[in-house]
Amino acid sequence: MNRRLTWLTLSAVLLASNGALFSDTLKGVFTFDGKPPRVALAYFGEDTSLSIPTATVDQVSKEFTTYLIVGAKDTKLQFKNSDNIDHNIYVNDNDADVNFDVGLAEPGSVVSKPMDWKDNRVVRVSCKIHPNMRMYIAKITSKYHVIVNLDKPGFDGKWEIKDVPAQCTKLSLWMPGLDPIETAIGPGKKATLKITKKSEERGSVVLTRG
Amino acid sequence: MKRKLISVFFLLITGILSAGPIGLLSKDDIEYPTGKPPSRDEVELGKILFFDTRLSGNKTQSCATCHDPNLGWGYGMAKGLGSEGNTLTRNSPHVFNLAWMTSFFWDGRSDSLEKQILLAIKNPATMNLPPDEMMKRVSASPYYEKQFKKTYKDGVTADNLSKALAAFQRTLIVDNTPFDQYMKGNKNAMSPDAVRGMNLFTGKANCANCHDGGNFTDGSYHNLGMGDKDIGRGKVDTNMSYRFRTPTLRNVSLTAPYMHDGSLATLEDVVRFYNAGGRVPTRDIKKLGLTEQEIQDLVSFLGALTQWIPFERPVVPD
Repeated sequence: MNRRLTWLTLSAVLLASNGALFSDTLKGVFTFDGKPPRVALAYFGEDTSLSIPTATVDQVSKEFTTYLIVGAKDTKLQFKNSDNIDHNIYVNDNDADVNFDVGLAEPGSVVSKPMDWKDNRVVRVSCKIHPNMRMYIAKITSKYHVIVNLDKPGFDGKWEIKDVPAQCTKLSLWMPGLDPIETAIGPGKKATLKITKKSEERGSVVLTRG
Repeated sequence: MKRKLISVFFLLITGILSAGPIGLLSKDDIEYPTGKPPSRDEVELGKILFFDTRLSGNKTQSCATCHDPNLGWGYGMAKGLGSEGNTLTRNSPHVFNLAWMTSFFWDGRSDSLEKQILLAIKNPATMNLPPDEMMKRVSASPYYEKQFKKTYKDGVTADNLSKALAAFQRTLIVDNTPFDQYMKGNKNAMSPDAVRGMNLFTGKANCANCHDGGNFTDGSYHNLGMGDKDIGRGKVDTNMSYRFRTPTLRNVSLTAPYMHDGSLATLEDVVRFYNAGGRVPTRDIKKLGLTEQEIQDLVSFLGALTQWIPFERPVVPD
Protein backbone atom coordinates (compact mmCIF):
# COMPACT_ATOMS: atom_id res chain seq x y z
CA MET A 1 0.00 0.00 0.00
CA ASN A 2 2.75 2.40 0.96
CA ARG A 3 4.73 1.48 -2.16
CA ARG A 4 1.67 2.09 -4.33
CA LEU A 5 1.06 5.41 -2.62
CA THR A 6 4.67 6.37 -3.21
CA TRP A 7 4.46 5.55 -6.89
CA LEU A 8 1.17 7.41 -7.24
CA THR A 9 2.63 10.46 -5.50
CA LEU A 10 5.73 10.40 -7.64
CA SER A 11 3.67 10.13 -10.84
CA ALA A 12 1.47 13.03 -9.79
CA VAL A 13 4.49 15.18 -9.06
CA LEU A 14 5.97 14.31 -12.43
CA LEU A 15 2.79 15.14 -14.26
CA ALA A 16 2.35 18.40 -12.39
CA SER A 17 5.90 19.46 -13.08
CA ASN A 18 5.21 19.08 -16.80
CA GLY A 19 8.52 17.41 -17.17
CA ALA A 20 10.37 20.28 -15.49
CA LEU A 21 12.21 17.83 -13.33
CA PHE A 22 13.78 16.54 -16.54
CA SER A 23 15.06 19.73 -18.09
CA ASP A 24 18.44 20.72 -19.37
CA THR A 25 20.32 23.52 -21.06
CA LEU A 26 20.83 23.90 -24.77
CA LYS A 27 24.17 25.52 -25.53
CA GLY A 28 25.10 26.95 -28.88
CA VAL A 29 28.20 28.43 -30.45
CA PHE A 30 28.03 30.52 -33.63
CA THR A 31 30.88 30.92 -36.07
CA PHE A 32 30.55 33.14 -39.15
CA ASP A 33 32.56 33.66 -42.32
CA GLY A 34 32.76 37.41 -42.54
CA LYS A 35 30.47 39.84 -40.79
CA PRO A 36 27.84 38.15 -38.58
CA PRO A 37 24.21 39.30 -38.56
CA ARG A 38 23.31 41.68 -35.76
CA VAL A 39 21.01 39.30 -33.96
CA ALA A 40 19.74 35.73 -33.80
CA LEU A 41 16.60 34.22 -32.30
CA ALA A 42 16.54 30.60 -31.10
CA TYR A 43 13.44 28.89 -29.72
CA PHE A 44 11.83 25.50 -29.11
CA GLY A 45 8.54 25.45 -30.95
CA GLU A 46 6.60 22.87 -28.92
CA ASP A 47 6.05 25.09 -25.92
CA THR A 48 3.04 27.43 -26.06
CA SER A 49 3.25 29.06 -22.67
CA LEU A 50 4.91 32.35 -23.58
CA SER A 51 3.06 35.39 -22.28
CA ILE A 52 4.22 38.95 -22.89
CA PRO A 53 1.45 41.49 -22.24
CA THR A 54 3.34 44.44 -23.74
CA ALA A 55 6.26 44.82 -26.12
CA THR A 56 7.59 48.22 -27.18
CA VAL A 57 9.05 49.49 -30.43
CA ASP A 58 10.75 52.86 -29.92
CA GLN A 59 12.85 55.28 -31.94
CA VAL A 60 15.57 57.74 -31.00
CA SER A 61 18.04 59.59 -33.24
CA LYS A 62 16.53 58.07 -36.39
CA GLU A 63 17.18 54.53 -35.15
CA PHE A 64 15.05 51.87 -33.53
CA THR A 65 16.12 51.40 -29.93
CA THR A 66 15.99 47.59 -30.18
CA TYR A 67 16.80 45.52 -33.24
CA LEU A 68 14.62 42.53 -32.39
CA ILE A 69 11.74 42.20 -29.96
CA VAL A 70 9.70 39.14 -29.11
CA GLY A 71 5.96 38.98 -28.53
CA ALA A 72 3.30 36.32 -28.09
CA LYS A 73 -0.40 35.93 -28.89
CA ASP A 74 -1.40 38.05 -25.88
CA THR A 75 1.05 40.87 -26.67
CA LYS A 76 -0.07 44.42 -27.24
CA LEU A 77 2.58 46.14 -29.33
CA GLN A 78 3.32 49.73 -28.39
CA PHE A 79 4.88 51.92 -31.05
CA LYS A 80 6.50 54.81 -29.20
CA ASN A 81 8.27 57.76 -30.76
CA SER A 82 10.87 59.07 -28.31
CA ASP A 83 12.64 60.89 -31.11
CA ASN A 84 12.38 64.62 -31.77
CA ILE A 85 11.15 64.08 -35.34
CA ASP A 86 8.19 62.34 -37.00
CA HIS A 87 8.34 58.69 -37.94
CA ASN A 88 5.97 56.42 -39.82
CA ILE A 89 6.45 52.79 -38.88
CA TYR A 90 5.18 50.13 -41.21
CA VAL A 91 5.48 46.45 -42.01
CA ASN A 92 5.19 45.17 -45.55
CA ASP A 93 6.56 41.68 -45.21
CA ASN A 94 5.24 39.47 -48.01
CA ASP A 95 7.23 36.45 -46.86
CA ALA A 96 5.51 36.53 -43.48
CA ASP A 97 2.22 37.73 -45.01
CA VAL A 98 2.04 40.68 -42.61
CA ASN A 99 1.22 44.22 -43.70
CA PHE A 100 0.31 47.18 -41.56
CA ASP A 101 1.01 50.90 -41.30
CA VAL A 102 1.11 52.59 -37.88
CA GLY A 103 0.68 56.01 -39.52
CA LEU A 104 2.49 59.30 -39.07
CA ALA A 105 3.72 59.48 -35.47
CA GLU A 106 4.75 62.80 -33.95
CA PRO A 107 7.41 62.98 -31.25
CA GLY A 108 6.06 61.67 -27.96
CA SER A 109 3.23 59.69 -29.49
CA VAL A 110 2.33 56.10 -28.60
CA VAL A 111 0.21 53.86 -30.83
CA SER A 112 -0.93 50.38 -29.75
CA LYS A 113 -1.61 47.39 -31.92
CA PRO A 114 -2.24 43.70 -31.16
CA MET A 115 0.05 41.08 -32.67
CA ASP A 116 -2.68 39.69 -34.85
CA TRP A 117 -0.64 37.63 -37.22
CA LYS A 118 0.33 33.95 -37.32
CA ASP A 119 2.61 32.45 -34.72
CA ASN A 120 6.28 31.80 -35.35
CA ARG A 121 6.68 34.62 -37.83
CA VAL A 122 9.40 37.28 -37.76
CA VAL A 123 8.48 40.48 -39.56
CA ARG A 124 10.67 43.28 -40.78
CA VAL A 125 9.76 46.76 -39.58
CA SER A 126 10.82 49.97 -41.26
CA CYS A 127 9.99 53.68 -41.39
CA LYS A 128 8.43 55.29 -44.46
CA ILE A 129 10.21 58.56 -43.73
CA HIS A 130 13.60 57.03 -42.89
CA PRO A 131 14.12 53.97 -45.11
CA ASN A 132 17.50 53.19 -43.51
CA MET A 133 15.77 52.30 -40.24
CA ARG A 134 15.11 48.63 -39.69
CA MET A 135 14.19 46.26 -36.89
CA TYR A 136 12.31 42.96 -36.47
CA ILE A 137 9.38 41.72 -34.42
CA ALA A 138 9.08 37.99 -33.69
CA LYS A 139 5.76 36.48 -32.67
CA ILE A 140 6.47 33.12 -31.04
CA THR A 141 4.76 30.84 -28.55
CA SER A 142 7.67 29.42 -26.60
CA LYS A 143 9.11 30.72 -23.38
CA TYR A 144 12.17 28.59 -24.14
CA HIS A 145 13.84 31.11 -26.39
CA VAL A 146 16.82 33.42 -26.47
CA ILE A 147 17.71 36.57 -28.40
CA VAL A 148 21.42 36.54 -29.18
CA ASN A 149 22.99 39.95 -29.83
CA LEU A 150 25.80 39.06 -32.17
CA ASP A 151 27.14 42.58 -32.58
CA LYS A 152 27.96 43.06 -28.91
CA PRO A 153 31.65 44.01 -28.57
CA GLY A 154 33.67 41.00 -27.55
CA PHE A 155 30.90 38.49 -28.27
CA ASP A 156 32.37 35.02 -28.43
CA GLY A 157 29.54 33.27 -30.28
CA LYS A 158 28.21 31.43 -27.21
CA TRP A 159 24.60 31.40 -26.10
CA GLU A 160 22.20 29.13 -24.25
CA ILE A 161 18.58 28.36 -23.46
CA LYS A 162 18.16 27.09 -19.91
CA ASP A 163 15.66 24.71 -18.31
CA VAL A 164 14.42 23.25 -21.59
CA PRO A 165 11.97 20.43 -20.86
CA ALA A 166 12.92 17.04 -22.23
CA GLN A 167 9.90 16.92 -24.50
CA CYS A 168 10.93 20.12 -26.29
CA THR A 169 13.19 19.06 -29.13
CA LYS A 170 12.22 21.12 -32.21
CA LEU A 171 14.62 24.04 -32.38
CA SER A 172 14.20 26.99 -34.75
CA LEU A 173 16.96 29.46 -35.47
CA TRP A 174 16.29 32.77 -37.22
CA MET A 175 18.83 35.39 -38.30
CA PRO A 176 18.04 38.39 -40.52
CA GLY A 177 18.98 37.87 -44.13
CA LEU A 178 20.05 34.26 -43.60
CA ASP A 179 18.20 31.01 -44.34
CA PRO A 180 16.11 29.91 -41.33
CA ILE A 181 17.18 26.69 -39.60
CA GLU A 182 14.92 24.05 -38.09
CA THR A 183 16.32 20.98 -36.43
CA ALA A 184 15.47 18.36 -33.85
CA ILE A 185 17.80 18.12 -30.86
CA GLY A 186 16.88 16.10 -27.82
CA PRO A 187 18.52 15.83 -24.39
CA GLY A 188 22.10 14.59 -24.47
CA LYS A 189 22.46 15.24 -28.20
CA LYS A 190 24.94 17.30 -30.18
CA ALA A 191 24.68 18.75 -33.67
CA THR A 192 26.69 20.98 -36.00
CA LEU A 193 24.62 22.84 -38.55
CA LYS A 194 25.56 25.03 -41.48
CA ILE A 195 24.37 28.61 -41.62
CA THR A 196 23.56 29.61 -45.18
CA LYS A 197 22.30 32.51 -47.24
CA LYS A 198 20.45 31.42 -50.39
CA SER A 199 22.11 28.04 -49.88
CA GLU A 200 25.62 29.48 -49.82
CA GLU A 201 27.53 28.74 -46.64
CA ARG A 202 28.02 31.67 -44.27
CA GLY A 203 29.00 29.94 -41.04
CA SER A 204 28.00 27.24 -38.62
CA VAL A 205 26.39 26.64 -35.24
CA VAL A 206 27.36 23.88 -32.81
CA LEU A 207 24.53 22.75 -30.53
CA THR A 208 24.89 20.73 -27.34
CA ARG A 209 22.16 19.65 -24.96
CA GLY A 210 23.41 18.60 -21.59
CA MET B 1 40.90 37.44 -24.60
CA LYS B 2 42.69 38.46 -27.80
CA ARG B 3 39.35 38.71 -29.61
CA LYS B 4 37.96 40.86 -26.78
CA LEU B 5 40.93 43.20 -26.96
CA ILE B 6 40.55 43.56 -30.70
CA SER B 7 36.82 44.28 -30.29
CA VAL B 8 37.52 46.94 -27.64
CA PHE B 9 40.18 48.46 -29.90
CA PHE B 10 37.76 48.70 -32.82
CA LEU B 11 35.07 50.16 -30.57
CA LEU B 12 37.46 52.88 -29.43
CA ILE B 13 38.51 53.62 -32.97
CA THR B 14 34.88 53.88 -34.12
CA GLY B 15 34.16 56.26 -31.25
CA ILE B 16 37.17 58.42 -32.08
CA LEU B 17 36.55 58.41 -35.81
CA SER B 18 33.17 60.13 -35.76
CA ALA B 19 32.58 63.85 -35.49
CA GLY B 20 29.24 63.52 -33.73
CA PRO B 21 26.64 62.67 -36.37
CA ILE B 22 29.10 62.40 -39.29
CA GLY B 23 31.99 60.01 -39.68
CA LEU B 24 33.67 57.33 -41.73
CA LEU B 25 32.08 54.79 -43.99
CA SER B 26 32.52 51.08 -43.47
CA LYS B 27 32.36 48.64 -46.36
CA ASP B 28 31.18 46.07 -43.79
CA ASP B 29 27.88 47.95 -43.72
CA ILE B 30 27.19 47.38 -47.42
CA GLU B 31 24.31 44.94 -47.81
CA TYR B 32 25.01 43.10 -51.02
CA PRO B 33 21.95 41.23 -52.35
CA THR B 34 23.83 37.92 -52.20
CA GLY B 35 25.45 38.75 -48.87
CA LYS B 36 28.90 39.14 -50.37
CA PRO B 37 30.65 41.46 -52.84
CA PRO B 38 30.11 40.74 -56.54
CA SER B 39 32.69 38.89 -58.62
CA ARG B 40 35.12 40.71 -60.89
CA ASP B 41 33.33 39.21 -63.92
CA GLU B 42 29.98 40.56 -62.78
CA VAL B 43 31.40 44.06 -62.18
CA GLU B 44 33.17 44.08 -65.55
CA LEU B 45 30.01 42.99 -67.34
CA GLY B 46 28.02 45.69 -65.57
CA LYS B 47 30.62 48.31 -66.48
CA ILE B 48 30.36 47.54 -70.18
CA LEU B 49 26.57 47.52 -70.07
CA PHE B 50 26.65 50.90 -68.31
CA PHE B 51 28.31 52.44 -71.36
CA ASP B 52 26.27 50.57 -73.97
CA THR B 53 23.85 52.68 -76.03
CA ARG B 54 21.96 49.60 -77.19
CA LEU B 55 20.12 49.91 -73.85
CA SER B 56 18.14 52.90 -75.13
CA GLY B 57 15.28 52.68 -77.64
CA ASN B 58 16.96 54.73 -80.35
CA LYS B 59 20.47 53.57 -79.39
CA THR B 60 21.66 57.10 -78.63
CA GLN B 61 21.99 56.91 -74.86
CA SER B 62 23.60 54.67 -72.32
CA CYS B 63 23.41 54.92 -68.54
CA ALA B 64 26.68 56.83 -68.78
CA THR B 65 25.01 59.56 -70.83
CA CYS B 66 23.12 60.91 -67.83
CA HIS B 67 25.62 59.57 -65.30
CA ASP B 68 28.80 60.75 -66.97
CA PRO B 69 32.08 59.95 -65.20
CA ASN B 70 33.50 63.23 -66.47
CA LEU B 71 30.67 65.17 -64.83
CA GLY B 72 30.92 63.60 -61.41
CA TRP B 73 28.78 60.70 -62.67
CA GLY B 74 25.96 63.20 -63.07
CA TYR B 75 24.84 65.22 -66.10
CA GLY B 76 26.16 68.75 -65.56
CA MET B 77 22.84 70.34 -66.49
CA ALA B 78 19.87 71.42 -64.38
CA LYS B 79 17.66 68.66 -65.79
CA GLY B 80 18.47 65.58 -67.79
CA LEU B 81 17.52 64.83 -71.38
CA GLY B 82 15.70 61.64 -72.29
CA SER B 83 16.81 59.54 -75.23
CA GLU B 84 14.17 61.14 -77.46
CA GLY B 85 15.55 64.62 -76.72
CA ASN B 86 12.84 65.45 -74.18
CA THR B 87 13.78 67.46 -71.07
CA LEU B 88 13.28 65.44 -67.94
CA THR B 89 11.58 66.83 -64.87
CA ARG B 90 14.45 66.40 -62.45
CA ASN B 91 18.20 66.69 -62.09
CA SER B 92 20.21 63.52 -62.82
CA PRO B 93 21.58 62.31 -59.51
CA HIS B 94 25.18 61.04 -59.38
CA VAL B 95 25.79 57.37 -58.69
CA PHE B 96 28.44 57.49 -55.97
CA ASN B 97 28.05 55.37 -52.86
CA LEU B 98 24.81 53.72 -53.94
CA ALA B 99 26.13 50.65 -52.17
CA TRP B 100 24.94 52.11 -48.87
CA MET B 101 21.58 53.41 -50.08
CA THR B 102 18.24 51.69 -49.45
CA SER B 103 16.00 53.71 -51.75
CA PHE B 104 16.50 55.14 -55.24
CA PHE B 105 15.27 58.00 -57.45
CA TRP B 106 14.60 61.42 -55.95
CA ASP B 107 11.23 60.18 -54.70
CA GLY B 108 12.54 56.85 -53.44
CA ARG B 109 10.02 54.90 -55.51
CA SER B 110 12.44 52.05 -55.95
CA ASP B 111 13.60 50.05 -52.94
CA SER B 112 16.44 48.36 -54.75
CA LEU B 113 19.13 49.45 -57.17
CA GLU B 114 18.29 46.50 -59.43
CA LYS B 115 14.65 47.61 -59.71
CA GLN B 116 15.69 51.22 -60.31
CA ILE B 117 17.89 50.16 -63.22
CA LEU B 118 15.13 48.27 -65.02
CA LEU B 119 12.67 51.11 -64.46
CA ALA B 120 15.09 53.67 -65.93
CA ILE B 121 15.72 51.54 -69.02
CA LYS B 122 12.02 50.85 -69.60
CA ASN B 123 10.71 54.37 -68.89
CA PRO B 124 9.62 56.07 -72.13
CA ALA B 125 10.81 59.41 -70.74
CA THR B 126 14.37 58.21 -70.13
CA MET B 127 15.87 55.29 -72.08
CA ASN B 128 12.60 54.11 -73.62
CA LEU B 129 13.58 50.47 -74.22
CA PRO B 130 10.87 47.86 -73.58
CA PRO B 131 12.09 44.74 -71.74
CA ASP B 132 11.50 42.33 -74.66
CA GLU B 133 13.54 44.46 -77.05
CA MET B 134 16.24 44.87 -74.38
CA MET B 135 16.57 41.09 -74.06
CA LYS B 136 16.57 40.63 -77.82
CA ARG B 137 19.40 43.11 -78.31
CA VAL B 138 21.59 41.84 -75.51
CA SER B 139 21.06 38.16 -76.42
CA ALA B 140 21.96 38.92 -80.05
CA SER B 141 25.49 39.88 -78.99
CA PRO B 142 27.88 36.89 -78.93
CA TYR B 143 30.02 38.78 -76.40
CA TYR B 144 27.15 39.28 -73.97
CA GLU B 145 25.85 35.76 -74.54
CA LYS B 146 29.23 34.38 -73.52
CA GLN B 147 29.85 36.76 -70.60
CA PHE B 148 26.39 36.31 -69.13
CA LYS B 149 26.78 32.50 -69.27
CA LYS B 150 30.17 32.84 -67.59
CA THR B 151 28.75 35.00 -64.80
CA TYR B 152 25.26 33.64 -64.23
CA LYS B 153 23.90 30.07 -64.31
CA ASP B 154 20.86 31.16 -66.30
CA GLY B 155 22.65 33.42 -68.77
CA VAL B 156 21.02 36.48 -70.29
CA THR B 157 17.95 37.54 -68.28
CA ALA B 158 16.59 40.95 -67.32
CA ASP B 159 17.31 40.18 -63.67
CA ASN B 160 20.91 39.30 -64.40
CA LEU B 161 21.33 42.41 -66.52
CA SER B 162 20.14 44.58 -63.64
CA LYS B 163 22.36 42.65 -61.19
CA ALA B 164 25.43 43.27 -63.36
CA LEU B 165 24.69 46.98 -63.71
CA ALA B 166 24.06 47.26 -59.98
CA ALA B 167 27.23 45.34 -59.17
CA PHE B 168 29.25 47.83 -61.20
CA GLN B 169 27.59 50.88 -59.70
CA ARG B 170 28.17 49.59 -56.19
CA THR B 171 31.92 49.77 -56.86
CA LEU B 172 31.78 53.56 -57.31
CA ILE B 173 32.84 54.33 -53.78
CA VAL B 174 34.00 57.59 -52.22
CA ASP B 175 35.49 56.87 -48.82
CA ASN B 176 38.94 58.45 -48.81
CA THR B 177 38.39 62.20 -49.00
CA PRO B 178 40.40 64.86 -47.13
CA PHE B 179 37.63 64.66 -44.50
CA ASP B 180 38.21 60.93 -44.09
CA GLN B 181 41.96 61.43 -43.84
CA TYR B 182 41.42 64.16 -41.25
CA MET B 183 39.17 61.85 -39.24
CA LYS B 184 41.82 59.13 -39.35
CA GLY B 185 44.35 61.44 -37.76
CA ASN B 186 45.95 63.56 -40.49
CA LYS B 187 45.18 66.97 -39.05
CA ASN B 188 46.73 68.60 -42.10
CA ALA B 189 44.28 66.97 -44.50
CA MET B 190 41.68 69.74 -44.28
CA SER B 191 42.24 73.51 -44.36
CA PRO B 192 41.36 75.59 -41.28
CA ASP B 193 38.35 76.91 -43.25
CA ALA B 194 37.14 73.37 -43.89
CA VAL B 195 37.59 72.41 -40.22
CA ARG B 196 35.51 75.41 -39.16
CA GLY B 197 33.02 74.42 -41.87
CA MET B 198 32.83 70.91 -40.44
CA ASN B 199 31.95 72.31 -37.03
CA LEU B 200 29.29 74.54 -38.58
CA PHE B 201 27.98 71.55 -40.53
CA THR B 202 27.27 69.64 -37.32
CA GLY B 203 26.39 72.76 -35.33
CA LYS B 204 24.93 76.10 -36.30
CA ALA B 205 24.16 75.23 -39.92
CA ASN B 206 22.15 72.09 -38.97
CA CYS B 207 23.31 70.25 -42.11
CA ALA B 208 23.84 67.03 -40.20
CA ASN B 209 20.16 66.91 -39.30
CA CYS B 210 19.68 65.32 -42.71
CA HIS B 211 23.20 64.80 -44.08
CA ASP B 212 24.41 62.54 -41.31
CA GLY B 213 26.31 59.30 -40.95
CA GLY B 214 29.29 58.10 -42.92
CA ASN B 215 27.48 58.63 -46.20
CA PHE B 216 26.25 62.13 -45.30
CA THR B 217 22.62 61.20 -45.84
CA ASP B 218 19.86 59.96 -43.58
CA GLY B 219 18.24 58.29 -46.60
CA SER B 220 15.08 60.13 -45.67
CA TYR B 221 12.76 62.55 -47.45
CA HIS B 222 12.54 66.25 -46.67
CA ASN B 223 10.67 69.28 -47.92
CA LEU B 224 13.28 72.00 -48.43
CA GLY B 225 10.92 74.75 -49.49
CA MET B 226 12.05 74.78 -53.14
CA GLY B 227 8.75 76.31 -54.17
CA ASP B 228 8.27 74.29 -57.36
CA LYS B 229 5.28 72.12 -58.25
CA ASP B 230 7.02 68.75 -58.15
CA ILE B 231 5.41 66.76 -55.33
CA GLY B 232 8.33 64.34 -55.15
CA ARG B 233 7.69 61.52 -52.68
CA GLY B 234 4.03 62.56 -52.71
CA LYS B 235 3.58 60.43 -55.84
CA VAL B 236 4.54 57.36 -53.77
CA ASP B 237 2.99 58.36 -50.45
CA THR B 238 0.38 61.11 -50.28
CA ASN B 239 1.52 62.02 -46.74
CA MET B 240 4.95 62.99 -48.03
CA SER B 241 4.31 65.55 -50.75
CA TYR B 242 7.10 67.92 -51.78
CA ARG B 243 9.67 65.76 -50.01
CA PHE B 244 12.75 64.48 -51.81
CA ARG B 245 15.38 61.96 -50.82
CA THR B 246 18.49 63.33 -49.12
CA PRO B 247 21.47 62.71 -51.42
CA THR B 248 24.94 61.92 -50.14
CA LEU B 249 27.27 64.91 -50.04
CA ARG B 250 30.36 62.89 -50.86
CA ASN B 251 31.82 64.31 -54.08
CA VAL B 252 29.17 67.00 -54.06
CA SER B 253 31.68 69.52 -55.44
CA LEU B 254 31.74 67.50 -58.69
CA THR B 255 28.00 67.23 -59.24
CA ALA B 256 26.67 70.73 -59.94
CA PRO B 257 23.99 71.91 -60.39
CA TYR B 258 22.09 71.00 -57.26
CA MET B 259 18.69 70.05 -55.81
CA HIS B 260 16.05 67.86 -57.41
CA ASP B 261 15.33 70.55 -60.00
CA GLY B 262 18.95 71.54 -60.61
CA SER B 263 18.04 75.13 -59.80
CA LEU B 264 21.07 75.93 -57.64
CA ALA B 265 24.18 76.30 -59.75
CA THR B 266 26.95 76.33 -57.14
CA LEU B 267 27.64 75.15 -53.62
CA GLU B 268 27.64 78.80 -52.56
CA ASP B 269 24.10 79.08 -53.93
CA VAL B 270 23.09 76.00 -51.94
CA VAL B 271 24.48 77.33 -48.67
CA ARG B 272 22.87 80.73 -49.25
CA PHE B 273 19.58 78.98 -50.03
CA TYR B 274 19.62 77.25 -46.65
CA ASN B 275 20.85 80.38 -44.90
CA ALA B 276 17.79 82.19 -46.20
CA GLY B 277 15.47 79.44 -44.92
CA GLY B 278 14.57 78.12 -48.38
CA ARG B 279 12.34 79.81 -50.98
CA VAL B 280 9.02 79.07 -49.30
CA PRO B 281 8.41 78.33 -45.61
CA THR B 282 8.70 74.72 -44.57
CA ARG B 283 8.97 72.95 -41.23
CA ASP B 284 12.27 71.32 -42.09
CA ILE B 285 14.29 74.44 -42.97
CA LYS B 286 14.92 77.54 -40.85
CA LYS B 287 17.03 80.66 -41.45
CA LEU B 288 20.55 80.13 -40.18
CA GLY B 289 22.05 83.59 -39.66
CA LEU B 290 25.42 82.59 -41.15
CA THR B 291 28.10 85.22 -41.71
CA GLU B 292 29.91 85.50 -45.04
CA GLN B 293 32.95 83.78 -43.55
CA GLU B 294 30.76 80.96 -42.26
CA ILE B 295 29.23 80.50 -45.70
CA GLN B 296 32.71 80.24 -47.18
CA ASP B 297 33.81 77.81 -44.45
CA LEU B 298 30.87 75.52 -45.21
CA VAL B 299 31.64 75.57 -48.93
CA SER B 300 35.24 74.74 -48.07
CA PHE B 301 34.15 71.78 -45.96
CA LEU B 302 31.91 70.47 -48.73
CA GLY B 303 34.94 70.60 -51.00
CA ALA B 304 36.82 68.44 -48.49
CA LEU B 305 34.35 65.64 -49.22
CA THR B 306 35.89 65.19 -52.68
CA GLN B 307 37.78 62.18 -53.97
CA TRP B 308 38.48 61.93 -57.70
CA ILE B 309 37.95 58.36 -58.90
CA PRO B 310 40.19 57.59 -61.90
CA PHE B 311 38.22 55.81 -64.59
CA GLU B 312 38.76 54.44 -68.06
CA ARG B 313 35.79 54.06 -70.37
CA PRO B 314 35.39 50.44 -71.50
CA VAL B 315 35.18 49.29 -75.10
CA VAL B 316 31.61 48.29 -75.82
CA PRO B 317 31.26 45.22 -78.08
CA ASP B 318 29.38 45.44 -81.38
